[in-house]
Amino acid sequence: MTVRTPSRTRGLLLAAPALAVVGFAAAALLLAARGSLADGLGRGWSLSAYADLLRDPALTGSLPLSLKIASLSTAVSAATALAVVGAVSGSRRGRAALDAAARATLAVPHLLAAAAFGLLLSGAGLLSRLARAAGWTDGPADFPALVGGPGHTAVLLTYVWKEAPFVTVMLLAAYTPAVRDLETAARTLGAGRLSRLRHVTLPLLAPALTEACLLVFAFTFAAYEIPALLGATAPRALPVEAVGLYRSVELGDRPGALALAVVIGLVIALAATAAAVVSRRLLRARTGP
Amino acid sequence: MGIRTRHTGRRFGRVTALAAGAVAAGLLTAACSGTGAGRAEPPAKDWAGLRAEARGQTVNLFMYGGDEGANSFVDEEVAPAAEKLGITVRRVPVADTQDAVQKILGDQRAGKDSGGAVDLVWVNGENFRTGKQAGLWLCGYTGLMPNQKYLDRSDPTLTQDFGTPVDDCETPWNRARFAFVHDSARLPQPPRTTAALIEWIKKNPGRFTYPAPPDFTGSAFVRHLLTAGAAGTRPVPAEYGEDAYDAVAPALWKELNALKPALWRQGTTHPKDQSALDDLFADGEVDMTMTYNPAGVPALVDKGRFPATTRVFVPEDGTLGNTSYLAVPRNAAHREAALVLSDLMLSPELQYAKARPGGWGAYPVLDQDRLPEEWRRKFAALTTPETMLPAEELSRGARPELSGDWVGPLDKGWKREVASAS
Repeated sequence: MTVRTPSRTRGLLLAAPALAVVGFAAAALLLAARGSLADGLGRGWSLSAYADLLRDPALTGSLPLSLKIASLSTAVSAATALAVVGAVSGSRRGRAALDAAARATLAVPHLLAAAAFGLLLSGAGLLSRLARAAGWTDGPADFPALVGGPGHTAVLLTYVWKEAPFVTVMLLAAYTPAVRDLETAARTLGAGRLSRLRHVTLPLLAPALTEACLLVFAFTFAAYEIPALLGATAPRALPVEAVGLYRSVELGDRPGALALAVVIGLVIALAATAAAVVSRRLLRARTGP
Repeated sequence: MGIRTRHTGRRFGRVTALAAGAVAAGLLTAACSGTGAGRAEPPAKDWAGLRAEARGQTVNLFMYGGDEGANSFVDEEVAPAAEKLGITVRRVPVADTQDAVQKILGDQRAGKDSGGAVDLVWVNGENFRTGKQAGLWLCGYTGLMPNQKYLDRSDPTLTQDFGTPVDDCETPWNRARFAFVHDSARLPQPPRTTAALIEWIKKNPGRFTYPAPPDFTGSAFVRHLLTAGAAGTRPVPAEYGEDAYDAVAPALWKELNALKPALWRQGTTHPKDQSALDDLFADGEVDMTMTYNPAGVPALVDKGRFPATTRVFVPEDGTLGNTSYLAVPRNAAHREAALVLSDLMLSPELQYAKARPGGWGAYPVLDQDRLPEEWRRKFAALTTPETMLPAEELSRGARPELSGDWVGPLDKGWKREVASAS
């Protein structure tokens, strides 16, 4: 008893920093929720910000757009990372090179990546100039509207460029020698590339992949810089809409902005719950009931 | 079990004591700042006393950081002049004046009635109005200021800031005029009227666009079209009201939507701010840009961002003009120095340094007739670079800004009726 007690306290102490972070996030969300139920100066109680949201085209346009950006970025990043990891997993040198490349990309700040993709893909950008020099276009107007266009192409490309390396690093960490041994065993038993991927590699990497996908989804759904710099005028991603509303010259817009922040928080909480359920199922499928 | 209980109990006791201490400290601080609330009253002192108190203080001057001319004027002219009065100027650049207002609001909400981080703000109409509604500004001091005697108190642009009465809550600093910018090498004859400009846009598809409101410049462009009556709209009442909005706005949205197919990228998207539009102009993607601060253009030409053949033009039927101000928050930590500094920035010396070519080039707010002979001659001898509007043209045909109450509804209306319309 006296032995177990200090260890439990120690565990609590060790968890304290993590709990503090969660506590700060929860407090911020609570403050936002409180602000969304008040007037522009944070006084009184009212539900009108949420009633306005339902009528506002901002939510009907921005929520689907943000969901689209986040799910597409997540799916493409995950597929790219899986393909790349699968391709180089056999060679130790390939793995090391991939790891180094992915970590180097991770080190680039999102803002810098957005600026770089802007310079690369905009109408007067590098690709457009090359296309013009090659005689494919007559000027910036002929180049497709990747930046600020209705398809948000530049936003998606930048996210994939930033997030695929993140998923790669997570997958490489889960890709232990034990996984490789099982793959080798399957191969010696005559399993082809596809069936090895389906029956050995994917199930073993699935928990790491789910976790990485959740993080990417939550991040791309709630991030501001990239859609703010490369997105179209309308509709705008949810976080851009929220920040814009919060900075409005009308004090009365602040509750609406905070209500949008609450919506963002709720979507992420939903995604996290879904991911938790999925990964528990995966774990049970692997270890048996 | 008993050991654990006592053990954790003691631990909890210590934590509780710590927490109690923190709460007590917090309450003490709150109490102190509570007594400091009396400081929000205007300083009932003579100017000499205020100057003596200001000595040794550092003023945190929050201002829009995107204007190089303004930045170097403050660093190279204002700061040394303030140093002579024993005041240090710390320029804090913000991306939008609204950010400074948010900071003061945050301080206010946290119960900080004194010792606020913001001492002085370069403020424009909408933000002044927002701050006034929230009771953020220090008022009732301009009568003390020695340099106020050079101002024409009957000038409506000095008594009203975007239709909000100034009420002794801010000090004028700058005049500005909405204008268009073109490259005379590509477009030798710019349109002469707003109607001709619209005609030109339709005849040259893809060569014109404007920043998306609520960007300051884009919002001003929409108000320019409204007040110019280009959309066939009726005269706009200065006072905002829902009836007034319904009477004039639909025609404006119709005209802007009709313009859409002729805009850059068919109007499916807009540059997000003036600086993004300037980039398009510099890259030759569009033929025109626009600015509420023509004084900033020569600096852009000097830096090579715009071609040397860049020129500013104002349609003959006039554009909007306004005055920008310096305001002191009620909870400013160094408000004595902030007040002395805002008076200093109004002085003929600094207004001249601001206006002279090679400096920032921004337009003075002083009334020439009230200046001493020596200064009147100096101001009269000012020359204007080719790339800028001369000061006498600045006021010619300038229309006063609409009431600040118009800005929000028009920005939102644009987003709903123009940006989201397919």
